[in-house]
Amino acid sequence: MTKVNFILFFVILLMALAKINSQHQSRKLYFELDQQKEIGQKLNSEYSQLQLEQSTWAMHGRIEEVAKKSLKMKTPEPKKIILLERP
Amino acid sequence: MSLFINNKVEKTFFELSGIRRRLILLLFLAGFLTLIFRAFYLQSLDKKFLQSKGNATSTRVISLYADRGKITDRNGDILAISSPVESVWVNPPNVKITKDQKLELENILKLSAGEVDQKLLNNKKEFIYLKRQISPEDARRLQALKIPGIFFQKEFKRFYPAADITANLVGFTNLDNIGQEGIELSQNKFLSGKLGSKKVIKDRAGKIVDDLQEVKLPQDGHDIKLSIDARIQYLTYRELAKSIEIHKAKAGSAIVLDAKTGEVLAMANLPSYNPNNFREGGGPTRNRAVTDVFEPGSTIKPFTVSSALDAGILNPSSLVEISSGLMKIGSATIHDAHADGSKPFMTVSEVIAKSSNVGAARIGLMQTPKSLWSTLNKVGFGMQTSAGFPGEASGRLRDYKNWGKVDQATISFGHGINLTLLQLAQSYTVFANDGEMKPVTLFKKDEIPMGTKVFTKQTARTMVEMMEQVVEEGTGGNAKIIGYRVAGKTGTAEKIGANGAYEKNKNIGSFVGLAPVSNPRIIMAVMIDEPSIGSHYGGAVAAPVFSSVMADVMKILKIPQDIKTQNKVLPQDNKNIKETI
Repeated sequence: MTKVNFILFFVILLMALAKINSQHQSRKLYFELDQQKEIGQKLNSEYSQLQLEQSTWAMHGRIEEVAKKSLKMKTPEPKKIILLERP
Repeated sequence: MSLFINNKVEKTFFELSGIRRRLILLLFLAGFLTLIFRAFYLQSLDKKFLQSKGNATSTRVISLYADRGKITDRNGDILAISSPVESVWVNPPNVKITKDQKLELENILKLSAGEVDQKLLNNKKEFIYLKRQISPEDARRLQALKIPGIFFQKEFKRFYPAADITANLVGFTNLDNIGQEGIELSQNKFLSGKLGSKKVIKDRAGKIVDDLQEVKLPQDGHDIKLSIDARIQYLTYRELAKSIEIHKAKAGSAIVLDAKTGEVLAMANLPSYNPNNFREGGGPTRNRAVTDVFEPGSTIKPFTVSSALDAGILNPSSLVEISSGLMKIGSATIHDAHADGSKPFMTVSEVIAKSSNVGAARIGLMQTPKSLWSTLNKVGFGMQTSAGFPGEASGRLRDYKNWGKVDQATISFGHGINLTLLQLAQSYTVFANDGEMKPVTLFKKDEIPMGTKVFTKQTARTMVEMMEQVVEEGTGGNAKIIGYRVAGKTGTAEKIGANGAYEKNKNIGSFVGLAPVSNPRIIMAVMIDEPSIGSHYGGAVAAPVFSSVMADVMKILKIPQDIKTQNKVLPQDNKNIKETI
């Protein structure tokens, strides 16, 4: 009887240690998960900033100005346009 | 020997008296009992208090941010987006700042020394915003200074890349991201996200190590796709601004509609404002095209005439007496602005083309008040459209039972009735859809909505052809575009002053038109308020805006031409042929 108790005592000790260990592992993993989530959020924020930046660069007013001033583009005169009939 | 040993042993032990032994045992027992009782007390009786104290040091409730939805145009171009920024707040008693740091702080936040001092020396509060919504870069620079007592709070700021071009339509939010105007206001619920929260355990270093299963997930707001096409919106705004500048007008609005679906492709207003750095209160935030009413004048005439055509009272070549452009009804005199004194009669087509008030009044009077009213009512005058824009005006169309003869005559050419530009644009969908009116919408539609039948197909087609004459040889010549048949109607109305009388020198010039005539795809309505330089007629101030925008819209939407340029008599150096991007 004492022998069994003795074994059980060690088993319970082992279990307790295992529980502590798994709790620790789980917290470590959770911390990692949380960090990854934070990175995800940061990337999302960055994405929205980039979207904003892109749409600011692509504003029609700016495109028009660049086309006219730096690229010296212009619309062809009506008489230079030949219209083709679709066969 | 053994005795000796025994003696020695006996001597090493120290015999306690029975009482002393028991006393000590009792003391030990009491000590253990105290411990047991204490443990029991802590474990059960005082548990709640202690646990809450314990949790307070290690668990935290963290808010989870939710994004406000984006507002985009029909092609996904961004019109409003939220981006993270930082707000700086201080706990004044805890702030320890050196002189250099303060200078740097003022520099980064662009605040004056006075403002900073006033906030830092305020000892009554423990939470004061130093500055809200600074850029992440500025926040990083400020964080690098490591000033104790200064904290940062993540927030979202709304950005509007199209700025003034869509400002009156999209609106803006306040610092707390609640819609204040326009779509931001009307769709606030749909756009707003719901903050979430979770309870977590933090370790000594502030790292999150576990959550406590109490997670409320944040709900991001929904995105909204408007029916607006950003390219057309830009064009419309640019050309409207040009006309307002040339004619030194007070304000102006323009609307471009998809004629088949009733979707608003562009809605521009001037004056406008920049919603990105707009302070609440004041400013030209009104979306005039929807919130302001005006007397439409001649742009109403096609309805008066169509109503008569539909009732079978007239046909396009019927003659109408115009009495050399003057007509007396009771004490009132109606006269034509574009009168040609030599002609006592005009055909119905000419009444439209030359925009004769007298002719329209006569045609109006040929009908019963009820019939004219019911036409105007069916095309949506006097009631709000289905656009659902905040602050939308319903305009005014009086009940026909209260009409006198003069009222009926003046309403026939667009006086004594008022409406918004959006109503006017919407009403013209009847001509583009063979007599069926399509309800307007500001949101992208996937299917074509059902319309209401107002006129017969025959009447609608006839009227479009008459309106083509307005552009070909009538008051709307400036609306021509190369390669396309255009129909439209000009309108010019004097504004009603504060005293209720018409003011001669304050006018509203307007133009509503559609193209291409062979299969109308686009409707555009333009309104210029109080042009002060040059002509004030709709044909001069509003029609050019129509033609320049429309020419480009045709290209953008790849709408096939319906006249061959070579066959059309149009001078090649026509000033109305606009440059395009």
